[in-house]
Amino acid sequence: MTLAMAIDQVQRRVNDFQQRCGEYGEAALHLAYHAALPVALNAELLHLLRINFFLDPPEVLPYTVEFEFLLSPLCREIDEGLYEIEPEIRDVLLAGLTQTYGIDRTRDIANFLNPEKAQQWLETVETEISQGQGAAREWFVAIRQEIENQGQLPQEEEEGALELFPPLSFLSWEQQLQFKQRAKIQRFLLGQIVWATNTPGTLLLIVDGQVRLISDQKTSVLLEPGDWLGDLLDLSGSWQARAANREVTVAQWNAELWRGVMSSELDRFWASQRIRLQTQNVKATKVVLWVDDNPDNNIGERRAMEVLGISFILATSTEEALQKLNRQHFDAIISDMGRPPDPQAGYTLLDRLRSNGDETPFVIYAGSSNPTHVAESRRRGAVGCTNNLDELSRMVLLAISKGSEVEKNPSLSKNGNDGKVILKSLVNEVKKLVNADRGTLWIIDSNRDQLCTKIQTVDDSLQELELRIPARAGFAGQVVTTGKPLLVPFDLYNHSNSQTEKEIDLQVGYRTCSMLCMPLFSRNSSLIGVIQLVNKINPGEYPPFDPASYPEAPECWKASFNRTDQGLIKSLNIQIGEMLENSELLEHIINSINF
Amino acid sequence: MTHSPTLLEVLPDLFQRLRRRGFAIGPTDYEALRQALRAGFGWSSREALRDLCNALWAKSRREQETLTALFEQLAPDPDDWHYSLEKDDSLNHDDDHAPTPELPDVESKRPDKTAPKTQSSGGLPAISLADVKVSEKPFVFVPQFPLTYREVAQTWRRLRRPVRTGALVELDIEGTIARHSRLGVATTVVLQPRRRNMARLLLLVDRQGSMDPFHRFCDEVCTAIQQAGRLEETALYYFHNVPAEGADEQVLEELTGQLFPALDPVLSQIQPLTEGSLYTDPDLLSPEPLVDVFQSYAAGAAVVLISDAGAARNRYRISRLLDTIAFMKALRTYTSHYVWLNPLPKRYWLNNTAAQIARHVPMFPLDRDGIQQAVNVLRGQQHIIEKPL
Repeated sequence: MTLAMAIDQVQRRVNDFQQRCGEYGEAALHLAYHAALPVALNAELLHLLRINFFLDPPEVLPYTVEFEFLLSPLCREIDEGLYEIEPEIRDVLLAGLTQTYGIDRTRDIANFLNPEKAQQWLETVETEISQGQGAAREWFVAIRQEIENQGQLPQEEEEGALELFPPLSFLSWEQQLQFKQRAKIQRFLLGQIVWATNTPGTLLLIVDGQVRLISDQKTSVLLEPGDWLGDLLDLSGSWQARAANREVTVAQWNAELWRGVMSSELDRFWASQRIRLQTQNVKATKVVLWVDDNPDNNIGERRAMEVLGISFILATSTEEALQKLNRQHFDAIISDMGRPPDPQAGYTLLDRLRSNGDETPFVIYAGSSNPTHVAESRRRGAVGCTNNLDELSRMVLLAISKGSEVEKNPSLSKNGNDGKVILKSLVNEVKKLVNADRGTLWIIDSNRDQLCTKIQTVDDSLQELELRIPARAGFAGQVVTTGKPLLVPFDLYNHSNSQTEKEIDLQVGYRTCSMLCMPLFSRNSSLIGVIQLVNKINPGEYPPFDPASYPEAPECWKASFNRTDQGLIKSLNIQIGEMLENSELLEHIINSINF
Repeated sequence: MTHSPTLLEVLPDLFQRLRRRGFAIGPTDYEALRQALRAGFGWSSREALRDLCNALWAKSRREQETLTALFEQLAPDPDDWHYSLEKDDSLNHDDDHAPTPELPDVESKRPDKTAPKTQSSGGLPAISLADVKVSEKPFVFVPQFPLTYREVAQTWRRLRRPVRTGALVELDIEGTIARHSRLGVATTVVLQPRRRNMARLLLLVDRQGSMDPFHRFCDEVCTAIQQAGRLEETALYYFHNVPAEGADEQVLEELTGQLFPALDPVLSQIQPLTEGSLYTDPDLLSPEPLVDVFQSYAAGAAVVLISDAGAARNRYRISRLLDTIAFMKALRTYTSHYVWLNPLPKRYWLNNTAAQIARHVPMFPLDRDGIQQAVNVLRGQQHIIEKPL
């Protein structure tokens, strides 16, 4: 038996067994679910399971099913009278047990495994371990692993309890098991290439640590744990992902495995990830050269500033710094002061740059913020000199923003609307993803305790209408109050809380039928807005909405959003929230939003 | 009964379940409980009612155990145990009887999906059982086989060969009267020995392999026969698959060309086979030569073989069939009373070794009707088989 039995082989055996049992096949399969709980079983245990769970209607099984099961290919005799179910089959059966019967039944079955003895045994071991006798390490580890693995089994979706996140949640539970088994856990050290477009073949989920995805256009994105990366995103251009922390852990799959399980939901998920990575890319990251002979001392500082969208390239000597400066443009330079043997290496580098005519902003991060040192550094052409992280980041940000406005990114500064464009494209993408007719981004204007947005009227798509509603009004307001997503199925007009929506519809000549509202949070988890998707489009050919028919609900919108839509938006929400948070954008937005 | 609608729900259900578990109870037993309730028994507490049911319906300690567990499962929670007259109340009770416990903490504390963190700790964390919930639902831990002890015992008591032996202790009325009328004078009474069941039984039980799922069942049957059969002598031996192995396979040469050949054409050529061992213990560790066992126990005795005869794995093996027939031929030299009991129902015998063996040896399924017929055959009743040896 190969280690990983193919999922279809497992399924075939299970089906074989069910068919062999004929008319009571389904109940027999349910008995098999029960029998899968113990690691090994014997005829007596199976018998007890049957007479306790399968002797009374609705599920009645004859005595013979016991030998049918024990002698079937599902079981393997591992010793005289002792049977085992292959781990792969057992996984499938246990998944069936939890799906069909839930946790209570599982607990009931556990009762058959002689709970008192098990309890006694565990207690003994517990005391042994507390006394420092670690004799029983192996079983303990094994049981822990088993318990953890079983925790990943799909369960019926219960309120917030066990939501497997996409794209795994789009797979059937057999597939989930298979993917769980095929995942390879890989570790990368800082700077190692995790994935690149020129070495494809894998798909990754970042488990721990951060990964920086860098394009040849000198732009980059910082990926967090929970982010996906790899071939299926179909990123355009040339990309390289490098570990951005000292140690990064990823779960890695063969991309072909994922290609084999295409579905529309998965396609949409990959599309959403692609949009995320590529639109974020518009927000060009600033690259700063950090010169320090002991780069490890500044990891904390770098991490803090990476969050602000700055990426760092390191140099450990003046020579190395100059080489790197020749090859590449930097938005700013941070340097320490003394690098043996030169006690004023910071100044040396600064002087050589300035004498070359390089005016890149220069900040000295050293052990002192003595005013005389500050004055001296300024005299030599640096932005400043500090030993304080806050001050350092302020200086660097200031230097970067000046640089970008004046010369680096004319398109951004001239237009001044880049945030608006990005947000508009994002909201449009969200609309497409979930098949919504409209998407509205409500921003909380906390000064006036209102929600504001601009929307297009139906009759004239160029005319914009600014809408302001009280921050607690309507469904959007409800999301502001609760901070939780809200899903209103068709027909929204039947909902008791739909007064505000009706009013807005009358103002703009629209008919709201279904709705999905999601809160938008900033990085520090404060609520900054609400994204509201209106009218799930009914798949099929229907005449377009005619405002004259109001308040009749049009056929084309007789549909409702679902949990999958909600999950998709959730993955994008963090992104939008981050962009909104960027304060210079937020101002633009409040003044001129229109989606 | 009309006093408590709660009982209306619980007791018939309990009664049905008990019957399904082979309790020998009928309408009169149910009526007995009703009468007892009417007379005022079993009302003081939940335990009182349980004990009443036990007293009236359970005939053995095992049955008591089963009944108690089922009663605990079915009856409402002790806290709700009051005899209400309202129907609504009873329904509520019924809903409450299996309250859904809250989800265990493990699930609500699932790790945040976005930030799985691994931490290396020096040693292994301590085990805590604080969160481990153990189901408190009572369960039946008494096995429930297709045949109950009572059924086996009752059936096997019919296997008797009453013979008058031993000291003259019983008055022979017929003999006394005959003697009086013949002699014409009063003489002493005629005495005769007491009747004794001289039936002897040799049980041969297949163990291990495909018989493993039936071990407990077969043990139960054998125990019942030994304890309650009231036989002169019951010997119990075990074997694996076939008691004797190594029959001369030359006879099979005539059968070449057939996929699943029957032994009919060569039946007469098969020689009796006594090369082999039987085991005195169920783990098949202490062998005894087959011939010795035959000589000590088989002569003139009833012989019962308990084996699936290859039906469990649904295989057809000509060598097993041949060995079996050769063994049976050897057995026939000692006794003509033998039956084969198969723990599998008849529908499993098709197209495998068992089907062929059943053509030559009286084979019955190990259920109530099966053992009845088996005992009939052992008592000498005619049983027609397709190809007698």
